[in-house]
Amino acid sequence: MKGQMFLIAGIILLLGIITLANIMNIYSVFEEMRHTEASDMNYRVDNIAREYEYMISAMSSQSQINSNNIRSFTENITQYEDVEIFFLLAYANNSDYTMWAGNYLKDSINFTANMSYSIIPDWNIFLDDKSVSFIINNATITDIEINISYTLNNENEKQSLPMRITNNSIIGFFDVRLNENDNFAKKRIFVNRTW
Amino acid sequence: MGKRICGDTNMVKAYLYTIELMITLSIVFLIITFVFNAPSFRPDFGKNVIKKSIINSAEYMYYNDELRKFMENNNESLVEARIIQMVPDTITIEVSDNCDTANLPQFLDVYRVKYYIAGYQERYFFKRICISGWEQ
Repeated sequence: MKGQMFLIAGIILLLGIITLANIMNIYSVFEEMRHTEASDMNYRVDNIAREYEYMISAMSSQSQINSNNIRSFTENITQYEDVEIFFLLAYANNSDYTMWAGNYLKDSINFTANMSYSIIPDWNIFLDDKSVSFIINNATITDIEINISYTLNNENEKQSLPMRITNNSIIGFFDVRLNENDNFAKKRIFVNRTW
Repeated sequence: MGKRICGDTNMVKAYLYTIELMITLSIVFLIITFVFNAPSFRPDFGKNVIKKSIINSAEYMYYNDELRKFMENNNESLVEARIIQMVPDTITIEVSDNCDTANLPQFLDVYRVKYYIAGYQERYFFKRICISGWEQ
């Protein structure tokens, strides 16, 4: 009788092992699929962020600097992708600088910027979705710091951006979030060009 | 003598139990080896391989600015030719700048990657390019 018990225990053990083997196979398939989906979203958000970087570089060699291309690209992207984008662009020439803030976060936001050593030290605005606002400012020293804050998905985002305003320089800050089904990929980039 | 017979019977039983246990354990280990030797079903990694091949070749072209340069002149055929050089021979590639689906096969699994281009050198333009691939 004891021998039969060993056999029965062995059969139960085997059934358990076979079940485990099946579960492990399914897990590896899901893992692989999830990995591919994640890398798919990553390359897409990297692509969008890199295009902003490219545009900032291209703008540094143009005579007239404005936010039109950035705005146009953002509006085109929102037509095809489920994206939420916030951008800040600043261009300095001698002691003057111009800042543009763009909201494409699918909701209106309160945007705040504090600029060190500037004639206008604070910029507080209410920005509607799909809108861009700008301010022209003047600084008393060469290196200033721009501290910005805005709300994205109920989270207060803060960013500190250094800027040099002696020569021609341009800075861009882009916060891009790509949504797909229940997943999202997010990328924040800061681009700084001086010439 | 009677005790000895009883003791012998117990010893024989003990040997039998030991042999049964060892047979059971051997069977268990044999089946473990058999079960884990190969997956019980073959996972379909083919589609991920196609997608990964397309992404890798497109990324290569994107990061060395070939994609940007070709798309400035709407030269999808050049993009297609370069991608075909980089992916396995079993994959058919179709490149479209407006992402239409007219030339794609209806009854095969098609995998598609999208890229956005915001200009080349100092010139701004907006391009959306779709690279589709399927196994022949």
